[in-house]
Amino acid sequence: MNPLDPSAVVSRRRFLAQAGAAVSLAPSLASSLGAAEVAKAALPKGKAEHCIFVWLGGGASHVDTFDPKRMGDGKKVAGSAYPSIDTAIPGVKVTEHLKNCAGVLDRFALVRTLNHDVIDEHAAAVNRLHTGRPTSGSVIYPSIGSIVAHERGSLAEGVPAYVVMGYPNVTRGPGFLGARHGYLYLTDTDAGPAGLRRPEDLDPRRAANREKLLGTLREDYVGGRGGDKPVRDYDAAMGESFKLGKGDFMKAFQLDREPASLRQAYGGEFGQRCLLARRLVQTGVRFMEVAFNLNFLNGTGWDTHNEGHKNQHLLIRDLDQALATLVIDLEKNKLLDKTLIVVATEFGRPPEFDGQGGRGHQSKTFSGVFAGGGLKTGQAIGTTDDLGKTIVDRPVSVPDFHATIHCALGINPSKSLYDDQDRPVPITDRGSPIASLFA
Amino acid sequence: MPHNLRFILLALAVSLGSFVSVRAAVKVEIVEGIPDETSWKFTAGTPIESYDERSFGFTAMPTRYSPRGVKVDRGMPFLYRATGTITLPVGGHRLLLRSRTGSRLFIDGQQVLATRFPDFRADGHEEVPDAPLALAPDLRYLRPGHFESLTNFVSDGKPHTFTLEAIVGLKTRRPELGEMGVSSAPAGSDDFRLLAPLEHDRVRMTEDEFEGFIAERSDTWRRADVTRRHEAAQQEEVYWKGRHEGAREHVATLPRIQIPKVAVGTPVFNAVDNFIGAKLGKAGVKPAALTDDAAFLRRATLDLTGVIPTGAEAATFAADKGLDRRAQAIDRLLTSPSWADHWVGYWQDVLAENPGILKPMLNNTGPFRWWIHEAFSDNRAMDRFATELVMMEGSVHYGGPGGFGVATENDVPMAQKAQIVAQAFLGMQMSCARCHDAPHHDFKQKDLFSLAAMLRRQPQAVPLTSSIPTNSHIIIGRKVKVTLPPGSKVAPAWPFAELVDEKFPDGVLRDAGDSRERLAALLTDPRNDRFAKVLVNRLWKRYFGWGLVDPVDDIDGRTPSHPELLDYLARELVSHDYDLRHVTRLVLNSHAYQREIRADASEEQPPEKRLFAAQSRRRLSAEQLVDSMFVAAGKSMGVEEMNMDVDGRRPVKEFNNLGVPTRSWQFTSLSNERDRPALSLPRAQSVVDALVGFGWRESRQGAMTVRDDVANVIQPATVGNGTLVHGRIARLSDDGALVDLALGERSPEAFVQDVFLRFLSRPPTAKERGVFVDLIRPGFDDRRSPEAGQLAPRNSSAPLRAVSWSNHLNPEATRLKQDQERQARLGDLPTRRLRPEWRERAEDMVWSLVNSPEFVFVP
Repeated sequence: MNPLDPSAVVSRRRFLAQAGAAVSLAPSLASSLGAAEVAKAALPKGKAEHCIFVWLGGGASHVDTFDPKRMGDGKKVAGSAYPSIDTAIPGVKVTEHLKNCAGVLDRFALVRTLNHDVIDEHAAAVNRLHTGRPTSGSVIYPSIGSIVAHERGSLAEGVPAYVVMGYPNVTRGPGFLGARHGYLYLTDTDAGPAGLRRPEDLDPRRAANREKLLGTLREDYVGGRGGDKPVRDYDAAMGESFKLGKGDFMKAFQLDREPASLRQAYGGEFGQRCLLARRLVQTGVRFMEVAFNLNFLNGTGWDTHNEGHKNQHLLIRDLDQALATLVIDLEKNKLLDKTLIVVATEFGRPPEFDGQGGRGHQSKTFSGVFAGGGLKTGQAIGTTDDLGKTIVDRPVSVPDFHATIHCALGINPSKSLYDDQDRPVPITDRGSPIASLFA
Repeated sequence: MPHNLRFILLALAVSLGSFVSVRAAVKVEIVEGIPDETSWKFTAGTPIESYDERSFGFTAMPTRYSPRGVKVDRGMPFLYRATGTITLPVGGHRLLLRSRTGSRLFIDGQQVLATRFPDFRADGHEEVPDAPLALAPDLRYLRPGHFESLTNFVSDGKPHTFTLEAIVGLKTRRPELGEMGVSSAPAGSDDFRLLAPLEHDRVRMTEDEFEGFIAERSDTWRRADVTRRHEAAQQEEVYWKGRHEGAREHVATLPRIQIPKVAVGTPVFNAVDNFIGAKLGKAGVKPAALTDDAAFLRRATLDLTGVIPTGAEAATFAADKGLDRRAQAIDRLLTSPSWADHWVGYWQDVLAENPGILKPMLNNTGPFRWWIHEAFSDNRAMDRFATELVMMEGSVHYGGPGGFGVATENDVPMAQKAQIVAQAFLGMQMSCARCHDAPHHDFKQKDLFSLAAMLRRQPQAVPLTSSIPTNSHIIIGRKVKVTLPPGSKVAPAWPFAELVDEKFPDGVLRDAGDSRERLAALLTDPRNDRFAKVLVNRLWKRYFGWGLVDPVDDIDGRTPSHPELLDYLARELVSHDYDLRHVTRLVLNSHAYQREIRADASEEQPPEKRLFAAQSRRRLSAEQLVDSMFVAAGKSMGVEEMNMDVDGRRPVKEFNNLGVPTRSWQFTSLSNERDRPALSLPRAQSVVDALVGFGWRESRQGAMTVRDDVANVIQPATVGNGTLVHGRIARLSDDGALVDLALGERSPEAFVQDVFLRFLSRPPTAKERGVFVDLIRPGFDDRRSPEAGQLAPRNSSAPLRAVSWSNHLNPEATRLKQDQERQARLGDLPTRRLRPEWRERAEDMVWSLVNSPEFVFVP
């Protein structure tokens, strides 16, 4: 059940449309059970139950992380900024600042040839990586988190399907799927999710008193003049919200229940978010987007133009520590196989340096990462040229990347969703999953 | 001799024949056509515009309007020159010039001060400036992006001509004046005041007084704008008068609509009730009773102004025994300034107004919200409103209908605009036709592209993206036809001859060769009764929860529940100058509107069963809810400016400024797609969270009329736990009205009564009075804190160290913003005038009233 959607009522119009479509499809289906159906049958169906979608906002430099190349000099000579090291995948190297991940890289699959055509606009590229589509004038596409929430719901009663740890924005939103497939969000693990955690300055005694006062008003109104369905639905949602605020779900946010050593192993705020993600997995949340936006480390976050580049290694080390700990922690809890970790970013960065030793944007090839999720890990998909500027083999489009995530979660990426005009919109824009990742 | 008189005599003596200075004004002149350079090396031409200010403080400007009465931009950059005769007392003075752009000050033609031009390369990596050092203890601190310069001046006590020049709107930066001005303080004093010809216009340069000055100047110019646009559009108004006469003549030629008779005993307040009552009679259904006065006032106030009544309004209305008190209230509310506010949110949705404040590239438009607001403030005729929209003239970035013409990152913007216009004014849902013939409608792909071409004023090519792959299962399964292959060109043509033909009466078209104008004229032609029907049906839906035909933006080919009533109301609109207020007055004065809510009226019925025997239950829109909360608490929104470029260093195309919101419609997406803490607007975020939870769209990439209003957990959770209510609405802080209310009350009973009136527009029931008086009584008599003394409200002024795009990539910017986020979560500072123990219980009462489902629904 998705608590954002207590009524889960199919609108009459939608119901009719679906029924109508089913009826009209029936005859043609029989006759055309050719190519389309065969293709569908061939889709791999993964067994992952959860997805932790790590977002490196700003455009993480692939040549300085997961696709290292020859060293550059920070000025004229293009190349990686740091030396590379061997990993647990024979023949596959990563930057030296990812040494923890390197040791367990056999649990990872690197996608080195992710690409799209949006170069210079962050918001548009962020939108592309979240929705898998260009912006359109007539359809607002849902984010991958909302699609997964819509398709699979949460795994436990009274738990939301989709949680964002980062800033709320449109590209993370439900688009035409509607508000009930949106997310709960938080920007600070200490403060908890906006709107659910009891305000910090409100003691339990006062909170209980408030609820009692409100109870009087609710009873009188809903039992009297406000006895109609819209009011009763709202009142029921209010009841749910109180339950949600007190139930197991909120306990997931009590990170101090974890051993201090583990909290330390995860590292700073980003690490704590990853730890929280593991706890949310255990609570039954389906999809978590975990933003890595510790911009105070270098100012720019992953958008390492100019000055931002100087401390990029601090970001990478933070990522390394948290990500490696998450993989091992999930594994210890026997959750790694059913939890797909994705690391994504809006684009990569060129091997050349700008005037102050930073880097510009590059979308024609960059890296994405998978870990766990029951995928055939321990491999790097696709090859880029000597400097990581172009694709040499196995390009992976954004729809392909999304299709892989969907298939890993048992979702058919070519299934149609229906927008507010009852128009069929396939989950991905003709994406095909990366076959070699599925055993 | 009075001081002012002495001044005027002096001024007379000196200014020799110049009556301008005798008026004791500062004359502002605008010179356009100057080079777009950060340099003074040019000869300024003749001023194109001139107006008066009262002092040397320049923070707002009057708006310029086109002959059609829509906002237009000045030619940028322009020279802003202000000249006034100033007399300073004999002796030494410090003169202070502040400006956000290059400026210089002359005294009697001699340059004495200057500020430099800004650096327009702001890439985000700059240092966050330290809090500016104040030249004097109480001096308002220098705002981000501003420069100041100071000099000593010895006055001979005689009048001198002061001239300030500044270059505004350089390099496509927003032509904002910022806080430009010249002030002075006598030597040995820190009392800086704006220079002004008259002593009482010399505003002190303290935080509060200058803040008041800014608000006053802005109000003054916005009020003046009303007159300015009427004056600019005199010819236009003559044209529309002619159009409306033509419309009345057309209506006169139509067969009369019979107003049905109703059975004896059927309640009839006006003709609306005849149409409704006749059908009720046939069905043998008894209409619901009239709702009580308190519910009526709350309902009508929400419907007409978008907010709940104030406590005083509720009390006054309850005491009004006049027989026509409801009609009087409706008339009063119809002319409320909030009438416009309430319509803006509606049309933002319908017309997909979607401005962005940070590199808007997600199908964004200009902020034509300001034009919508002006149109409804002026009660502009709806045919003229639609025409102005379709013509897309005027300012693109600063709020004219030109902003409707923009659709960033959209490869066929005019196809989208055509779709929006058809949906808004013809009730035709054509979005499918963007890519293929509509499967459920009678529209061809070509119809949409012909309309698009009319808007484009030339043939419209079909791009590759406006199609679907021919092997798609959509085509196979749904038998959808793509009739226009990508690359085809479609000529401008009106595709809906069945609605109206192109035989316009003389004088309607001012440029017959302009397909955009022809389209506007076809939409608004009185012979095209679809236009008026769509509008009155939209209105009906708004006030009853159901349309006479639904969905209101997709009525083509559907049968209304009350076709004669729809006709009747449409005719009323056409024959009354397309005045929406006229039809609204009619509808709200009906018995049908003023009835009680019955549960069954909220359930969807097929049109033939829709009787309007009772009102349906409607939830407050997101905007109504949030705006009502602030009305009830007597607080201003106190959020950040909708602007990521507070120092004004970036081009308007990338960074627009939508101002500090005072109503919900003024918000926009906070646009943190970049996920950067330094770009967060935490106070605004708490309001936006509530708005989004209740169905407001932060991004309006497409048109929408009916929002998803299914209840969800986030809604009560946001009201219950979010900062907006806990930290602000239910917080008794000195910036709200509840502290004074609490201090002024005679008894716990009176306090409970007044708070109920403020929040629920009704007195408490006996049971409620019992519960809440018990809560409030303990400690009531000594609720006043001995410490007294007001604290400055936490939100009184902008942060001292400003984060702007220019420095947001500096680590310090992230730290500052994260600190602001923590501050924002704490909410408003509680008052010290009330004892905390009593205050908290009063807050608990307010919290429970706002959280009550009753607050969230229209009664």
